Parts: sequence; structure tokens; C-alpha cells
Amino acid sequence: MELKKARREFCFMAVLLVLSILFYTVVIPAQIPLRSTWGADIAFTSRTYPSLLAIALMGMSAIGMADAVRKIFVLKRRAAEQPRKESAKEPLAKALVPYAVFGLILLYGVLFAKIGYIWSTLLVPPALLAVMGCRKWTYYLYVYGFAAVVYVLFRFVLQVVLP
Amino acid sequence: MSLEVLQTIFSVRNLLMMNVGVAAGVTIGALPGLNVVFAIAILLPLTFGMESIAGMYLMLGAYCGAVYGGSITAILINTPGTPAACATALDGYPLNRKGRAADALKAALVASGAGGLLSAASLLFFAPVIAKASLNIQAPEYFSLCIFGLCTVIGIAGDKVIKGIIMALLGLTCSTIGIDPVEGTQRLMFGNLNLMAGLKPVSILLGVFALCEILFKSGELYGAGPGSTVGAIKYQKATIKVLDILKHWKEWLFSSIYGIVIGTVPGTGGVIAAMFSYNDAKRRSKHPEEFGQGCIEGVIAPEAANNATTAATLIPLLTFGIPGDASVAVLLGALTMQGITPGLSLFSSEGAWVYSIMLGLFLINVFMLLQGAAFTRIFANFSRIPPVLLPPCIMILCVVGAYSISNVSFDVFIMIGAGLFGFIMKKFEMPIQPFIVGLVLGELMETNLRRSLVMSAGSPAIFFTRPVSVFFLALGLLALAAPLLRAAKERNKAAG
Repeated sequence: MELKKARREFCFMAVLLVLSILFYTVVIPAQIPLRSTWGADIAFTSRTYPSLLAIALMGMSAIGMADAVRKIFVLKRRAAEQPRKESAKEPLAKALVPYAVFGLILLYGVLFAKIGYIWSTLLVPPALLAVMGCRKWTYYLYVYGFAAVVYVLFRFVLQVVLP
Repeated sequence: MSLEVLQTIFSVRNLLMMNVGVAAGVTIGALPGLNVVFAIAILLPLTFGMESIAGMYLMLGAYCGAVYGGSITAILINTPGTPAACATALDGYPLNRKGRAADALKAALVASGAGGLLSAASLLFFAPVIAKASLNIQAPEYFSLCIFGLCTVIGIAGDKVIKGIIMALLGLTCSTIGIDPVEGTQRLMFGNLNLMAGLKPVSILLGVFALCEILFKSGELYGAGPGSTVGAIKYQKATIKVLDILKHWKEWLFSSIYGIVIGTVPGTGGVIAAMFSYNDAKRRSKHPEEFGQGCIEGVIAPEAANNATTAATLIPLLTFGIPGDASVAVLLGALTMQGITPGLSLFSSEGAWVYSIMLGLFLINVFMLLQGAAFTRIFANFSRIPPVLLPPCIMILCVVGAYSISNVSFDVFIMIGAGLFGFIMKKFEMPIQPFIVGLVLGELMETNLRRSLVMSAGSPAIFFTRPVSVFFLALGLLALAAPLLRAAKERNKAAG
């Protein structure tokens, strides 16, 4: 388990290193224009601070990678000395639930903008309850009740014009 | 000014906001798994349409209430509602097992209220003094102070210093999106005019704290059944009198002082204060063997300490504009939304506002005591809300809240993206707090870095030649090195 975690950490740091290199070499030059009047006589331009941060990110992710490699070596050595244990795997359905929930939240955001608060709230929150395995119908009513309270609070008390 | 301050504090709307904030905070604090930052973040959208004072009272009420609320479930079901209440459970739950739950709850309430009141007094006394002294602070010192604030938040992540630094750098990078504060050029906007004012910390906060919580909880809740995990709560009448609790004044006073001192240091907070005070109370006790077996001092010490941090954390926020932890970073986000810039000039330009906030904290703690005395039984039953109901309700509140920031759907998508980012980072055990503090401090840091370099004609030596700047940098380095040294010491100890 620990070894798997260390490998994942290595991959994460490697991805971060690549992203920070891309950020430094591609994104910053393309997305931060230089003002000639500023860039000519002052060393610190609009690009300097983000560039410094990108360089620091590259450095730290490289250190993170090295640390993950060290951990992998230590754990491999330890694993060779100890008998291998089978780790309990999380059920696939349970592991996928957060991603399904994220999909529904994204859908709620899109529908909120396209068809408005009332219709999107009628559709998505019950789907969220269903995805989490809720079978008690009264809970669906509680959620609608809460949504009604939120509507009244924002629309009439706080004067926010909801779509 | 004093009449203006009193009129502000005692207006019906502000008194109502204080009470609503406390009630919401205690309720959320009593829900296991939802922490203090969540309580403040979820109430944040409600403050957009309010006057800044009313909004701050609502959130400060929630802040103080949630810190206390965590103790209710710690005592009743041995599940701390917030991390700061972990130390309370050590003696609170054994007291409950002895049939003295109501005594433990009363002791927690009185200690929390007393700690909070002393903390409010310290804010009122020290903040103006520090603000006056800090008028001499210039850009290099300010930059070093920001570095110190960031380092302490990173240091709190323990042995994850590398990950903490990476998250802080990501937060600082995100803060560069938008119009350059010095030159006025567009940065990292990808042609999207919604990003002109940068990423709004409020939508990011809602995403990484509230939405991310849904994503994590949903996996745990799947297949766990729809019902509440907590059975009916048995509750007896308290037999302990307030005077009996006040007899333990030494525990209360020392713990409150520890809480105030610890709370003032950026990056610390209620958890450290509570554990430190609990251990100190045990060390000073004449009967240390009773600690852990159900000892009333074991409840008083951590509760006084964790509530004593609440007003103390506002000292660096109001005087320097430096948020000490994520909860205060949310408060800073709210202030920014209201157009109020905390820092050195606040005390001179918005004196009435600052004093209204500081004096309002006294009333908030009094209301917390009154509400706790009257409604603890009701608050305790909120912990029985079926957990499966929380994700859809939080989702609705987050989406509507993010939309109400500036009535555009773009903020909703930023919030959703931040939620996914927070979820992925949590999966990889990356600490979120440095990211948030980096995000809210980013502009301040950059502006002061650039001003300093203009002052020194481009030489970074300016940060190492001014005593106050060197002092803050050394403190920051110490905060970063301390957890690494501690981890190395533990490794050596384990290796024999």
C-alpha cells in the first residue's frame, strides 16, 4: 500500500514538473505580453514574478520526485524483507461514486445556467441522492424543502436574481 | 466615534446576525466531519448582499460557534465535530460514560465562552498597539511578513513540507491571474474577460472546502444506508454549578493565555492550542492520573484554549492583512469582497468599523454562552441529521452562493473546478491550507516584492539588511525547519 502511494506520488510530481515546464516555456510567453516601455529599463516585468514561481515549482517538484524515488527504494527493500500481504481493494462502484457525483455537480452547474435554478434543482439533487444509494423518499422531499428555503433566502431576502 | 460604534453593535440587524451566525456555527460544528472553515465558507455567500459589519458578525458568530460546537459531539458520541475538539473528547466522553454528559457540556460551554471573552479582550488591547507599531513597516518587511505567514502554514503540514511549498506556490501562481497590479497588463487570462479581476478567492474557497467535502463524503456514504449514524442522544440535567467550574480558574486562565498566544502566530490555531493546554493542565494537575478517565479540568483546558484562538487569529489579519489560517483566509476573502482592505491603514481610516468588530466579538461570545445554555440539547440533536442529506444540500448552496458573487455563471464553473482540484490534491495528500493562504496573500506579496526591488534598485539584498525583515525571514525559516528536524529526530529515535 505504502509502495503504491510512493509510486503515485512520483507520478504526480513528474506530471507537476512537466506542467510547470510547459507553464514557464509556453503559457507565460503566450499569455503575458511585455510592455516595451517597461521591459526596456526595469528588470522586473509582468512576467518576472510568475516566472520565478514557475521556476520554484519546477525545483520543488523535482525535489518531490527525488523524495518519492528515495521512499520507493526504502519501501522496496523493506518489502523484500517482509512477507507480502494482500491489501483489501476498495469496491469499484464505491471508488467511482465521487466522480459520478462530480459529473452531476457539473451537470447542475450547466443546467443552472441554461434552464435556471428551479428546473435544474428539480432534476439534479434527487439524482445525486439516488447515486449515493438513498432509497427513502422522505429525504427527497427534505432536499426540495431545503432548495425552496435557499430560493426564498437568496431571491427575496438577499435580492439575488437567480437564473 | 464611541456612540457610532455602540449604535452599530446594538442595531437589531447586527444583533440578529451575531445570533444567526452563532447558531449556524454551533450546528455545523456539531456535525461530525464538517469543520470551522466549512461553517464560515458556506455562510460566505449570504454576506454578499449585506453591509460589511453585518456580514462579518454573521461569519465571526459562525467561527466562534463552530469552535465550541465541535465539543458537543466530542462529549456525547466521542466524535469530535471539529479537529480542535479532539482533546475535549479525551475527558469529555469518559465523563459522559459516567453519566455526567450535561456537566461536561456545561463545563465546555463556560470554558469556551470565558476563553472567547478573554481572547476578545486581547484583540481589543493588542491590535491597536500592534497596528500603531506596524506603521513603520515598509514594503521589504511586509514581503518578509508574508513569507513568514506562508512558512508557518506550510510548517503546520508537518513532514509534508515539500508538498506544502508546492501548494503555496500553486496558490501564489493562481493569484497572478488577471490584471497586473503594477503595469496593468493582462496576465494568464486566455482572452476571458471574466478573469480580469483575477480568480475570486470566494469561489475557490467554496470549491476547495465545501464542494470537495461532498466529493469525499459521497464515497464514504455510498452503501452506508440513508439513516443517521447517531442514535438518540441521552441527556441528563447538569449537576455542576457555574461557580464549581469557575473554581478551576487556573486551568481556564492559563489555557486561555496559551490559546491567545498560539492563535496570534499565523499558521497555528485551535488544534495545537487545545492539545498544548490539555497536556499543560495534566502536567500541572495534583491528580494527573484522573486525566483521560473523565476529569472536568480535561474539558475546561482544551475548550478555553481553542475558543481563545478565535479573536487572537484576527490580530494579524486586522493589523497586517495576513490570514493566519484557512478560517481567517475566508474572512479575508469576505472583507475583500466588501471592498475593505485589512492592514495598517484600517485603524486610521475605518476606526469605527474595526472597533465595532472587536467589541462585537464580546457580544458574540455572550450570545454563544446564552444559546449554549438554552439550546445545547437541540444542537446536540443536529448531529443526528442523516449524512446522506448533506451532499445535495451543500451542492445547492455552493452553486447558488458562487453565482451570487457577481451574478455570472462563470464563478460557478470556477467553484466546480476548484472543488475537483481540491479533491485531487486531497487524494494525493497535498495540504490545502498553504494553497489558500498563497492565493489570498499573492497580490500583497508581489506588490511588496516589486516595491522593495524598486527601493533597492533591483537588489534582493534589501530583505537581508533590514533587521525587522531579517527577523521575519528567520522566523519563517524556523517554522519550515522545525517539522523537518522533529521528523529527523523521530527517525533517529526509531532507528535506535
